[in-house]
Amino acid sequence: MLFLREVPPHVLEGVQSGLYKVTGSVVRDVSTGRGVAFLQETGVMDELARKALEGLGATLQGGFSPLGILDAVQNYKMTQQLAQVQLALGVLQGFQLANLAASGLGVGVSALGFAVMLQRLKGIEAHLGRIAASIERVTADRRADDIRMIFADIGTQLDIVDTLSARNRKHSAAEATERALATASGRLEAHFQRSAAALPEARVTLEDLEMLWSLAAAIRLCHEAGLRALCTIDELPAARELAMRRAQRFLELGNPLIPDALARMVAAEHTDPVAHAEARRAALPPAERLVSGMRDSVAAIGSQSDLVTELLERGVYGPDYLAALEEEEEAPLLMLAA
Amino acid sequence: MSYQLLDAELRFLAWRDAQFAAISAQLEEAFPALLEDLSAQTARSSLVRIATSTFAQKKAAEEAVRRWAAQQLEQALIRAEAELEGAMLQVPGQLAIDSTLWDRVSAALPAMAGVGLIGASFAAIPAVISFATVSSTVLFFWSTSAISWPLLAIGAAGLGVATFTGSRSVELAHQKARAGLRARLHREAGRQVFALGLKPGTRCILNDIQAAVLRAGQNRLGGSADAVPA
Repeated sequence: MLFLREVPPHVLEGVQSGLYKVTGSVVRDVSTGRGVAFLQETGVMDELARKALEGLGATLQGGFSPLGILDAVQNYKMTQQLAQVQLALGVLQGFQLANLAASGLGVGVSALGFAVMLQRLKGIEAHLGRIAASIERVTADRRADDIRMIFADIGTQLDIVDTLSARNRKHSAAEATERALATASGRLEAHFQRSAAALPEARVTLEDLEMLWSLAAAIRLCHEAGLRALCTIDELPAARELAMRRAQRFLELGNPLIPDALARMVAAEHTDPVAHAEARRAALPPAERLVSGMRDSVAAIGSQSDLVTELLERGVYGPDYLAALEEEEEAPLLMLAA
Repeated sequence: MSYQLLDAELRFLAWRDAQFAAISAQLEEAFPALLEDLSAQTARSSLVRIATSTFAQKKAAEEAVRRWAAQQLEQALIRAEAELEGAMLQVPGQLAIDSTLWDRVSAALPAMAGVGLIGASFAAIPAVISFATVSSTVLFFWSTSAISWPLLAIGAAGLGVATFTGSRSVELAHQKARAGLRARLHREAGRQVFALGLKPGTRCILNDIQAAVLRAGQNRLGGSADAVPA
């Protein structure tokens, strides 16, 4: 593993002292904005996160409320290694286990195996199905059916990507899959925008926010799978472009969402000022989780572009990079010096 | 576009979101003081004035709300400007002198009015205001169009009858009249400040203050773009 190594003490100290800051997967010098290192999660991180979720007794499959989980997570003593990572790098500050459960931590290229991705997609879909049933306007115009079909398409594409390495014509298969995932993502974006735009027109509940979160999580999953497919066939320039464009799209999707406005819409049914204020305050944390989750995605995906640029400049072969992530058995995070 | 540009844009979105939440919390915290002011105004009014002078009640209530709103606006602007300056200082040096950043963020800001609530207020606030001028501009708006109170007098007929049926009845009528007026003033204040019970997106003082802060922030960033040498 020539390009990836353990995070050295001077980087840890720099982050702890405030000299450096971690945004997405990039460690930056605060004063200059210059990237000094890239962080990359490994397969170990995925395993640790899975254990943490089990410890919480709250998996996506178990039907937890993604936007309601954070308080519990913050008080939960994560596994020792995750706690160390968190203390050392602050990578997990504002860490959203709900996002992690859906699409991985998002530090570097996703280290999630595709079987796990498929499982998580099904988890998001199941959650979406539960909340859609309680949102009348979603079911009224058959949008829930369309979303289910999109999820089925995504599942099919994940199956294909899962078998890419065994295919003779893996390049064409990977490219076709990446395109199909991008199409599915675009359709989900349309649902997201439509759902967001419809919020002021009806009574807004926390289920509406969870609906948006679920759609965003699925869009993110599509991106992670598409990026990984491109890395599998060493299409790193395309992966770089994809990451930057997808980050821009996520920014545009999340831009109109303002936590305070969402919370006020949830509270709008109250005409008494005290009850209204209490309802707004209660709805604000989940609204902030939704929006910060989307912003975290922008940062994580945008920094993937810089990471892939670094790989290109070093002449790293994409499949070798992915293999290194899968082979790592101890460190949840590795580093690539910039 | 580089990741650093995205990161800078995220900083300003975070500024917007923090300001909006802070303004809501600020107004909620200060609202009881406004209600007390309106209650005191009712207590001071003579029965005859309560019963007959719609114009006087309306004017006094409008003035109390406008005075309170002006204080809230000032506080919100001071906080927003200081925090925006802080966010701008955090932009790395090389990026800060690149007008692309300020152009981009400034161009993105119209969409920053967000889903639903402040669109009408944002459209009503003049596009050219700055942190220095926004206060007087918004106050002018409130004095001419936005704050419109319904008739407040409770009517003289019932009180007139009560006045001639004995002192106990008069006292009860006084209390009832004041309580009724106070309740109406409080309810109306809730509508004026938070648009309580109205359609989401209706103009109110909270939406106007959030929109004014956003406009001023937009123009501060736009000014930075203009200040970068070509």
